[in-house]
Amino acid sequence: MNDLTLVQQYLLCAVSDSGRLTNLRSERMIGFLAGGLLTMELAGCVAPDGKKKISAAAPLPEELAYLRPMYDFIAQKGPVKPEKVAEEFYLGLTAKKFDQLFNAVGESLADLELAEAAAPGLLSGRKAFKPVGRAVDQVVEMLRAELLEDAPVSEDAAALAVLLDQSGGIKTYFSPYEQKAIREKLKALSQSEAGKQVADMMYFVEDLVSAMAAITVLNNL
Amino acid sequence: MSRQRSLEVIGQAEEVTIGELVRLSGVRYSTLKFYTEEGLLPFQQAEENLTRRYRRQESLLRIREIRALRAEGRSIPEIKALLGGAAG
Repeated sequence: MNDLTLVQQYLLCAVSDSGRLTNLRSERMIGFLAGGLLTMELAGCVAPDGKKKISAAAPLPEELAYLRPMYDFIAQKGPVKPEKVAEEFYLGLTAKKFDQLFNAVGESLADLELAEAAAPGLLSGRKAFKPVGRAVDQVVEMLRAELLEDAPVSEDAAALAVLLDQSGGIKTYFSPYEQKAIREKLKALSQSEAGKQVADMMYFVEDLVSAMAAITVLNNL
Repeated sequence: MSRQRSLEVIGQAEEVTIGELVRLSGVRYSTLKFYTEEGLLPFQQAEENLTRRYRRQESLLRIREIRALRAEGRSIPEIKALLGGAAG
């Protein structure tokens, strides 16, 4: 097993059985972009400024090189709203920048032999990354162990759970009973003193997903 | 709240959580929880509602033993009898 970042874990959970993420799954594309931002936030290289803007806070670590295009965009633009990140990487007829980012994260998983890369289709630059063996299972079991256990939850697990919940992916892996337990746990955490980071993260992801979704709707009009 | 410990760190830790045991062993959470509830996986817990802590090396060894016995077709009651419950 490997230490995976949030965006790597999210990609494994967000793709179809054949490893594809099509433009029809816009909520998961947005979740992927939010996952990239949260991964950099957890690593301390970008930070929200309290005014719903994000800016670079430290150099991008080498192990997150696959997020370089997103980091560089934020670093060059200065404090930037998440919607601007969505515009840059998501909008456009071909979603070329999204594809490059997606392929870079996917290749990092292929390098770890956790996904098999397949060539893009005729009309897309986006490759498929089919999860290998128990790669998805290990991510989901880690979440289950942290969120269904009567014990403290790590920031990493809370962030992934919030992201999967907000982008609709949680229904794929957790029963309605488990989903209810997970939401109750996240809510309880967010209301506790120790869980302020969870509350901040929940609001951050909710804002991010709704802002990015608004951009998507406008784009599709 | 804190960050997850890396595999390198938990691979050398004396005690681990059940989530970390899932990551180290690759065994499902529900399976480890079942083994725990059946008394096959000893743990320490300072107070009620505090995190259960498992001794890493002993727990991984115990999981391997249980899996090997299951692969031989032994039932959980048989394994409990063979391993002496939580005495390990």
